[in-house]
Amino acid sequence: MNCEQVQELLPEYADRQIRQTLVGGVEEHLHQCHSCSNLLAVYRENIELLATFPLLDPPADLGDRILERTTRRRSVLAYFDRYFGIPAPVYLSAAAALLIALLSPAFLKMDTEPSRAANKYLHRAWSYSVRMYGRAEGMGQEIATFKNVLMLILDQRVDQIQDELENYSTRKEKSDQQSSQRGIIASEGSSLTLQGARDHVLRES
Amino acid sequence: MTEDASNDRNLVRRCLKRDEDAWNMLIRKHNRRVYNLCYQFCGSTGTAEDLTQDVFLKVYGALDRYNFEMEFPTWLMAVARNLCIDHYRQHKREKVVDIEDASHIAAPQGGSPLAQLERREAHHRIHSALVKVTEDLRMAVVLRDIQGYSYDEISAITGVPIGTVKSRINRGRLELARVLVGEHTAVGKGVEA
Ligand SMILES: [Zn+2]
Repeated sequence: MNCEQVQELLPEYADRQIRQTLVGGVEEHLHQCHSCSNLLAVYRENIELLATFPLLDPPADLGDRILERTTRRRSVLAYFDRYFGIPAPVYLSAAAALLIALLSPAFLKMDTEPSRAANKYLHRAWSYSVRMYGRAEGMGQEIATFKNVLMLILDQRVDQIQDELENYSTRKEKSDQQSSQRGIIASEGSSLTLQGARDHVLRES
Repeated sequence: MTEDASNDRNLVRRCLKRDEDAWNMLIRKHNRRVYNLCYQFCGSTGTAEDLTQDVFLKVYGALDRYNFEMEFPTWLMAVARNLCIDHYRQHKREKVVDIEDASHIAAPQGGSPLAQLERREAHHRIHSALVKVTEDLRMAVVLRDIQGYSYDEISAITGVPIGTVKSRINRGRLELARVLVGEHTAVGKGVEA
């Protein structure tokens, strides 16, 4: 046997799993070949060294960091849930809807009885949000609109907010119609859109 | 099923009901195991920290797909194994830096200070060689010879048949020995005796 053949057999030889007929040839080679017998010695030593490889303690705050990264978002939600007894999405969507309402050009242009109008908006936004919470699929559009409006404000393109809100209303009505066709929501739900709320306030004022 | 394993399963069930304490308990119970696997495989405590966090993030996001037939630690180690190997494959073109000797932060083992020092050096030497071993073979050696998993468990963690596990362990051990005796590039070129 040559070195290559013997070395390929070393794991089985070291484990005593090697076929008996091969033992003689391997041992004969090992007696004569220093590099192969050295390799076997290192091989055996390694297994012992690996078995005593020291176990490290992770940094003390690693568990906290993992917990933070995995549950950060939910913690905020759990906080609302725990302390106010109202699921957080209601708050979040109410906040989004309220901001949209407050920042809409219709509201900004109003100069008569703004507080009464604001109250109407608040009320509408709130009940709208509560209703919205009941329909999980509505959330995506609310959040997207909220984000878009924020971006427009930051970019000082206030004139485009009206367009954004109209787009939103159109999409909303469309998806509400689709939803009611699928029988997912009650028909009364579709009348309570943000557009509806705004029209209502404009009439009132 | 052992009591410990059924306890893990109960914790997972509680996690699925949004019980944050249960998730916290799973993290505390298993993060050391994951961290050590990552460190042993990649040789850097910083990378091991990042990978450990990634493992738990991934597991957390997939808890609702947990197969209750599988032991939780086995699943965790399977995710860790995949992330370690992916990380290695993404970064293997980068210049290889010396592996970090972090054994000083492990609990001291028995013997005289000199014996301890020698042991530390031996572990550092073998670790430096280990991270040069082909990734799949290296992972098999880490799981078997350092972590002490059975062939069955390694088969479940790596998703390959037992025969392949055995062959990877043998080839990994041999490759490690060859790296250590400096014959890695001279495989099979020895003198015929
Ligand atoms: Zn030889």
